[in-house]
Amino acid sequence: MVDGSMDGQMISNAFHHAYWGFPLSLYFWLVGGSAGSFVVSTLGWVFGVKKYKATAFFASNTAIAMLMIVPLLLITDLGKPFRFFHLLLLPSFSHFSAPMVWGALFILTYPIGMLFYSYFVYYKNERMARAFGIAAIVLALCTHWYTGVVMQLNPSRLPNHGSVAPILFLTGAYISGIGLLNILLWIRNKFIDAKRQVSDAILADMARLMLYGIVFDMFLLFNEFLQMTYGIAEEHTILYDVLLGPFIWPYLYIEIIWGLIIPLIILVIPKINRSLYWVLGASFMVTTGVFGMRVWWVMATQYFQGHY
Amino acid sequence: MKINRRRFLQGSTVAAASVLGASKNASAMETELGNASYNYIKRGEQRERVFSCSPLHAHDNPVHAWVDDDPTIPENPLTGKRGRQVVELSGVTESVRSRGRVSAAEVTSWLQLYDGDRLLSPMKRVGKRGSGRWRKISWKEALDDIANAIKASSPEEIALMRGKDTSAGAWDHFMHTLGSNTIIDLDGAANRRMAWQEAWHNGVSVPDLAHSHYILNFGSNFFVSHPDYAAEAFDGRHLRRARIVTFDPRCSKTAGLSDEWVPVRPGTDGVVALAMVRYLLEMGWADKAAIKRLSNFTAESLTGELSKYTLDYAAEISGIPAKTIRRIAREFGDSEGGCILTGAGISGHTNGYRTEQALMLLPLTAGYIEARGGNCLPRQFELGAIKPAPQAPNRSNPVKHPQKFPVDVGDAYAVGLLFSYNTNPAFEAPAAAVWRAALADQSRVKFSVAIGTFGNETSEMADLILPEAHWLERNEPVQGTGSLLPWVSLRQQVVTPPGQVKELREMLRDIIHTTGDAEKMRYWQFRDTRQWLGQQLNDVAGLKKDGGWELMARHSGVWPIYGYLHPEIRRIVDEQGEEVMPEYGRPVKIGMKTFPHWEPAGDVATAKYELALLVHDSDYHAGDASANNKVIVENSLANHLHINVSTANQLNIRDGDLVRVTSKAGYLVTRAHLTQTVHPETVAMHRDGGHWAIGGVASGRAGPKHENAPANIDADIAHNLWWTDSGVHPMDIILPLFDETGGGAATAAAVKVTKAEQGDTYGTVKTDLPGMTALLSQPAGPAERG
Amino acid sequence: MSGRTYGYNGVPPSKGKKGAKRYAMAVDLRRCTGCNACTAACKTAYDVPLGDWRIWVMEAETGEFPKTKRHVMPRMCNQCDQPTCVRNCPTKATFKHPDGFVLQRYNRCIGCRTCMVACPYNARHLLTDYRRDKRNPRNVADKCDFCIVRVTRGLAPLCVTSCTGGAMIFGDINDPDSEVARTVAANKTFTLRPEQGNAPQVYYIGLNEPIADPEFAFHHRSDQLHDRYNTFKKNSELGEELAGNIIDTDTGFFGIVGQGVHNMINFIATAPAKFFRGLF
Ligand SMILES: Nc1nc2c(c(=O)[nH]1)N[C@H]1C(S)=C(S)[C@@H](COP(=O)(O)OP(=O)(O)OC[C@H]3O[C@@H](n4cnc5c(=O)[nH]c(N)nc54)[C@H](O)[C@@H]3O)O[C@H]1N2
Ligand SMILES: Nc1nc2c(c(=O)[nH]1)N[C@H]1C(S)=C(S)[C@@H](COP(=O)(O)OP(=O)(O)OC[C@H]3O[C@@H](n4cnc5c(=O)[nH]c(N)nc54)[C@H](O)[C@@H]3O)O[C@H]1N2
Ligand code: SF4
Ligand code: SF4
Ligand code: SF4
Ligand code: SF4
Ligand SMILES: [Mo]
Repeated sequence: MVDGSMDGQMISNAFHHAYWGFPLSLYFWLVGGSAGSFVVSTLGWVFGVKKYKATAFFASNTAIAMLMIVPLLLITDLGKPFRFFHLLLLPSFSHFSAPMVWGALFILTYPIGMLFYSYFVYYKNERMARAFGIAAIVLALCTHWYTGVVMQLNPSRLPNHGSVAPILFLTGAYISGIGLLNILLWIRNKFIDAKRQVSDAILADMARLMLYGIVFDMFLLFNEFLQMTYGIAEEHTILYDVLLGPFIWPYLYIEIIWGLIIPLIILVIPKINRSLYWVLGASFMVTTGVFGMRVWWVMATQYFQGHY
Repeated sequence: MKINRRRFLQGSTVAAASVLGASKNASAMETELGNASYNYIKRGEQRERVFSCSPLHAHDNPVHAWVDDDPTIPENPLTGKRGRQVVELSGVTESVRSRGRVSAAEVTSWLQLYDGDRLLSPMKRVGKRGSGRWRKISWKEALDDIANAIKASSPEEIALMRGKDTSAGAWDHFMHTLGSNTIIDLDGAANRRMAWQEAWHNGVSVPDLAHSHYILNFGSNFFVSHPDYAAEAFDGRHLRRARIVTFDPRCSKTAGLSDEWVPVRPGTDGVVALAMVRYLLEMGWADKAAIKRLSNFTAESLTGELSKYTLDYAAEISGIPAKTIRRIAREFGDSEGGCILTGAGISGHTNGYRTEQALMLLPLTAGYIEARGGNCLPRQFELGAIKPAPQAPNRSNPVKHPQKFPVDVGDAYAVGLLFSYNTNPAFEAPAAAVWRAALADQSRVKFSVAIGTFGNETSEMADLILPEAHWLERNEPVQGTGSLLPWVSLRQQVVTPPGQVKELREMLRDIIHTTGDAEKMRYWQFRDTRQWLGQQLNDVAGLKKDGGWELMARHSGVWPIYGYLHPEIRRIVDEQGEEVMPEYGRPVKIGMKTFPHWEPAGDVATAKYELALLVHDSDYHAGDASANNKVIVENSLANHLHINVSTANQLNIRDGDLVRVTSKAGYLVTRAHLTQTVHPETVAMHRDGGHWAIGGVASGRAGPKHENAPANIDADIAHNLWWTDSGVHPMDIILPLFDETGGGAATAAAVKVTKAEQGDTYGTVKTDLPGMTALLSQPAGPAERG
Repeated sequence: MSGRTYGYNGVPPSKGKKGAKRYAMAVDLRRCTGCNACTAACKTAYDVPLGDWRIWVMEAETGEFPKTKRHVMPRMCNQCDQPTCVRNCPTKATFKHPDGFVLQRYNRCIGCRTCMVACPYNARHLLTDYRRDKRNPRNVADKCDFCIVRVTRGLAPLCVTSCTGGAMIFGDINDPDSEVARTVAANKTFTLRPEQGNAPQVYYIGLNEPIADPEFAFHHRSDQLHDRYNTFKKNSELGEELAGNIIDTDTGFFGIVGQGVHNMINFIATAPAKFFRGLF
């Protein structure tokens, strides 16, 4: 750090905390997984892709279950957990310029929409399932989009402060949701009778859906990377000294290599991209890779600015 | 400078705005710069104000203590009582000393009132001296023990060892009552005091920084160590574009924020000064008339003495390029009035006395003595004596050399009873380990009593510790120092002390009364300390006429009130808005017994592969008085070894490496901090590291992450204290070397710096006790004081 | 006064609401001694916990021996005119007072820390559960409030009155006669990170670029400072609860995973206590 050519050193400064940490990374991951699962769930009932109908009920319930944990995480992470209801005291307390408030609305209504959807899927009520499915999928997207916006609207938090951020976030949600669902469905298959099992072919089809997401995700990431190699000095620092420094594991190794590149390779090789264990492997890599992304996404810029 | 009563009365009540109305200046801050405080927890109610005066820095500082008397306030953890608590400190705006400002150490010092590590009752040693095991005892038992020790000692065997004397004469009164004048004055800046004392019969020079155009600072980190001087100098810089030039081997905070830093080799400032003087004389820029008028020298006699001090000679010795010395000399001589400032960096070498006197020649030659912007005699009011006063013993102080206490005690003079007050030589003195050994030796110090608000490494070696009131809990008159507008102030008991704690004056009285000696008790007849304080203040010439000390105590805390703080130029102005100026031109005659020729400083004379280790004051600490203060400790970095990058590269030392610093006295192990801010031949540490006896914060043992952390009553400390590195004690490896003329100790040493060896752990200190004792025993030089 | 110059940044001081005051601060760094009296005064008067600061002094050393300089810069909340902290706070617990203060309503704050992430200046902190005076708010966000209790009663902020060098000038920048307005007009002033668009209301005079630059602060931490920061992260109870402090000496695979696991365990372990203390 200090050598003969140094032009100075900072010797005193405040140490303010990183404000958001692993619990929030986990929250971002879960809420993403939930939205992703739910998107898969709606493919059959809302978008009319028949073969996915079998997964719908389970996927929707998975999404609901994840969303049950999510508020717990969020609330526990508050300095004053019992005051979480301040977020809901509409309109007297809420502050509509804050994406957190939008999020509170979404997180509140989205599980309700999903519950109704699940209910009608269970009773095979095509029309109502479709109606609630559409409502819930919009909410699912919104829930995720807002989460991205929460990060986007912090002017000093590069690279999150950009309009790609929410889309990147959604894409991550989509692929991690599918990946997670694939694994859960496979586990579920072990416990239920053959009739209700989801076929390997469907899992492979879902992996194909995931592949599209991976490609899009990489495309967005590459865009972001490009921008960071240009830009002002701070973007360079974030890229080279933070993301490829202390955060190299979550960023480069876990997200990009483990979570995107290797699954991409697996899923484009014709020989293996429909074989169950390769598909499951790729799914696992993608989900965990996205967790890596959630970690650096939340913490890297806080780490950087913590030194200012 | 006529002070009339009306002005005194109006002092703090006239709003700044009315001054502005009278002045031509445009309006300034619409908010006032002090004199109020509000309880923000309770709807912003106005708080109660009590005036006091902080003793923490070299110059005392008048302050307001703000008190909440609020039933919802959590109970005082030390007394278990609710009610009045000090919650804030701020400066007195009318004070010419501070103009409302307070230092970091001062503004946080009220925390110490409620510190869980405070001493709350008298304590008696159990086990060996220094074992750190104590038993609480009653005052009666403590006083009886002391009275017995007094009876068992002859008067001159009763000794006092003290640091800065904050007692306003009480200690001398006490010692004289007992018939003793055995006083060990551990004054760090002794060389400076002696040098000036001899030269112009006053141990101090006050630089008129605010009105100066050129400030030459030699070896003082005064931006942080003397906040009042800093404020004045910054006014000079702001209002008069004064240039501040700092000579220091280390780019201290002061040096780095000065207009120019001159990295002088340690101990060589004298030669630089002499060369500058010679140059000024040679170029005909010296004020010959002033030299003649103000000293026993003449331009010719000076020229004669200075023949060898050419610029090149000085350059070679000091490492400063000749043209830099020449330019600064010229700028100084050319300025419309400049002054010098000297610090512990000058006094703290074995040639400190001579260097001080050599530096004195600079303002003399330029004619800046007792002139605006120059170096002036101090202006002070005399406090009244404590009456009736016992006769001072008519022999001279047997302590010829305070710094040689560890070898002289029990030999040159006997000590039957030793009081130590406001000093911590077992930690702060050179070769501190030798001090600890001497203090632990019961055959040499028979009975030892330490007095303090907190324990320290010195009281750890005592037989008895008496809990003293914090300065916000005691009544003491204060003689103002450091300013060219004289002033007096007072400390008042803002809140009552907790537990068994007593004020010093009460303790001393009780000791005398316990002896049962009516003749002695005669000198200690006061109802309470406040009455006594009043007696002393009422004798200050002019104060009584102006309304008396009680008015001052209620009204302003300082006297006289020269005017008001101008909210924009932030100086004290009169009713016309004109700055109140000091008077200059007091008669001065500088004379020196011998011409202050330069000789090398023995402490930093380095051999090959050696470096000079400078141990300096820490930026934010006020000596050890702030050592247990959480806010101060949090802000001060641990005293890692500052070493120049190029030096470190040669020694193959990287930033953060564990290093061994070895002197003839021993070695310590610390971490290296690589920096461009020290001279390559020098390394530096601050002295406020590695305490073990003051409290949990000082020793770094408090806080949630420490096993067996002492319980701390401040929840913030118990749960939030986060640092683990509280530094390394440096003073054990400083050799006991002194300036034999001035009597002051060197605070530097020649050292070798190497990478730590196997088995070395951070904080290790090893000392060669017999070697150091031998060094101390060398015959004392001419130093004689008291 | 001749034409106003707004200094290097070219950011004109905001007038805020018509007719309202706009309190602002000018910090003349040429007069700052780096003494930390401001820090210490504020910290004790407002019972700011260890590890948190409402104001702090950044300090840097630059240049090579013997051309070495020091730079100091007190930092605090800038009382921004476009405060992102306010915009992003979901409960309006933080808000912009018409006279310019950006303030906290402690009883509304839920401690979500969105405001901290939104502040480009690191000016905010979350109060711990442990304070010297138990009556003070806990577990909610806090920051410098420009000493509103003092200022509304006609008294300058405490840091300003304590300031050794007289470096801080405070007042209503909407009043052209005020010292702060004249100082800002007459000097080349800088604000921090103007590109963030927050319109900060703390104007620096004599700002040194290195110290004002987050890049510099990041790349040029001294080893000792870096160490201290990591120690702080390791030892801070609050940090464990919030679980977001990456100790960057340990960021390999096992390091990152280990920190994550450690932090999550702490997070869960402290959860029950947190829920109940949240009631109060
Ligand atoms: N914050 C703070 N303030 C204090 C104190 C404190 O402990 N902390 N203590 C008080 C007391 S008791 C005193 S005596 C004063 C002392 O206050 P100062 O006189 O300011 O003493 P130091 O802060 O030790 O600074 C001495 C400087 O001299 C430098 N130096 C060392 N050797 C030489 C040399 O040979 N030549 C030159 N030119 N420079 C040299 C050191 O590097 C150091 O920067 O401060 C008082 N004020
Ligand atoms: N290496 C190195 N050594 C130095 C110096 C240096 O710069 N470098 N400086 C030297 C100088 S200039 C000096 S003055 C000495 C200072 O050394 P000391 O004279 O030992 O002074 P302090 O370190 O201030 O410690 C004084 C003790 O008095 C206590 N105390 C504070 N206020 C009161 C009070 O009101 N009443 C009582 N009873 N006790 C109180 C404090 O808690 C502390 O324990 O150190 C000298 N030693
Ligand atoms: S500095 Fe930060 S906390 Fe202060 S007003 Fe601006 S954005 Fe908000
Ligand atoms: S921590 Fe408090 S002030 Fe900050 S955004 Fe959340 S609710 Fe608002
Ligand atoms: S204005 Fe008040 S709250 Fe803000 S930093 Fe200064 S003293 Fe602290
Ligand atoms: S109190 Fe004033 S001079 Fe001291 S560090 Fe703070 S701003 Fe600078
Ligand atoms: Mo001293």
